[in-house]
Amino acid sequence: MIVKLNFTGRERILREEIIVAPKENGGNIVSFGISLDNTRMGLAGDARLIVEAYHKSEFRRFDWGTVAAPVQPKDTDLSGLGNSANLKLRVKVVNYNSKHGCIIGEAEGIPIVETETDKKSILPIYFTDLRNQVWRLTYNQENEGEPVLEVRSALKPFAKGNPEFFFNVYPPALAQILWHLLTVRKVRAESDENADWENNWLKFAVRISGQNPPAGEEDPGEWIKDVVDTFCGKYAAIWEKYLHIEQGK
Amino acid sequence: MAELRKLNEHGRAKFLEYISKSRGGEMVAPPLDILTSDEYSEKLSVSIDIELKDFPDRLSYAKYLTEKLSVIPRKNLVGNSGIWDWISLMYIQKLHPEGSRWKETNKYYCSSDYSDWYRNLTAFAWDVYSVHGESSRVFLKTKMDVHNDFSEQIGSRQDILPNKEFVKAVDALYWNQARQRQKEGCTARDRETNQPMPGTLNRLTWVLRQFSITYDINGMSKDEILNLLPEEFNKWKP
Repeated sequence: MIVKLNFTGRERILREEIIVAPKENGGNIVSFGISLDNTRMGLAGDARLIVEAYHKSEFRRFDWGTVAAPVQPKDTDLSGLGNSANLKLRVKVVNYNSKHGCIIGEAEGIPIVETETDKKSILPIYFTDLRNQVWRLTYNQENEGEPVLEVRSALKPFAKGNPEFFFNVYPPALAQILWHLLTVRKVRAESDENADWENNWLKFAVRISGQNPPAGEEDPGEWIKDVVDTFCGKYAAIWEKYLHIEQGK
Repeated sequence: MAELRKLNEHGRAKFLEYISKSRGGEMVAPPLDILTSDEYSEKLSVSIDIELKDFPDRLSYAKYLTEKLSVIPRKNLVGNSGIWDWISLMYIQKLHPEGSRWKETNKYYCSSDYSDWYRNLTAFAWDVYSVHGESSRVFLKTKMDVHNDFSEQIGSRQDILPNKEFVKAVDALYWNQARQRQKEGCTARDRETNQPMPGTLNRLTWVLRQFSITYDINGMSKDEILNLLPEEFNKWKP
């Protein structure tokens, strides 16, 4: 079981408490602004606001002044970093009054440019080179183990909105994620201690099935089957229509 | 000497086919002709000559590549599999010395799957050297065809790999200055339990993962990181 200890009382900064203002040039993100709403958390005003832009081994760190008096750094140039479209932000509030700088608030995986996918999807899709595989699930350790659907690049034009892709990929992916969530990460109820993605997936599954997952160590297999089956049922009409069209060809 | 190009999709497929056949035990010659073929590779917008040299270790290879590729912006190199595959193919007989065992495909063929990037003998050598300079010696002071524990343990941790002060701390802990090599036993495991021995590299990555939840490790200097480490690391500290 993954145990999360929080001795320092650090706050999880919510996504809606951070506003990112990207500056683009010719379609590339060249810099950005950021602001933090501290109303709910009430973090110490003299704590430093640190922003890190990252994607894989690409990394830049910015000192944004203090919580009470944020100061935009002179240089927030991101144009030298590779994969600028995939860069994410990590926002940390750090208290330097202690011996070592203690993190008292943190948010990770904040997109600089929020796409429709970022806004709506709980399962980010990366098109990548998977050699012999068509798709696979990975768990992004840079974002608290959030599940990511990786799909072979060649399928990019084909995947979006394609019922065959949808029904071959999403139901087993959903089952795998729920199994991982309930048995590996041992998350069976929403909690502030959970990662955002864990709460989002749990909420999503409960909304589909109308039932909470079994508590404790009880085998969640049947509940997961039910969620996946109901999920497929919601889209059955699309599948039927697709089959009808295919058979008519 | 040859002018650096980038393998196109067909060139990369041909390179991958060569690796797959070789790994499968077939005796096939490397398709070196595709390095200059317009059908399989493309010219770059800059002209860079790459020599086929004998390097004593990956560190020298990385230095050479970093110097040669310095005219290309980093963002155009990161994840540019066509360029890395071109270089790997040119150097294939050094990356896979005759008579040695073929390693995993990703050691030679640069997948655009980023989770494999750090395992590529060529691309990762350039990446880590271009960011960390001489401190990258713990990763790269190896034979040309060796991906050591430092590369595996830290290269896979892309949340800490770009941290220059952290890599300096790793260098301070585990580099034997007198012998110009990694310190003896720094990746050792207990023979019975297979658990990493106290203060070793695996313990360091584990400890740092825990600390990074509480402390702003990315904001610390090398000395601050070393001071933060628990007693088990004392015997490794400079």
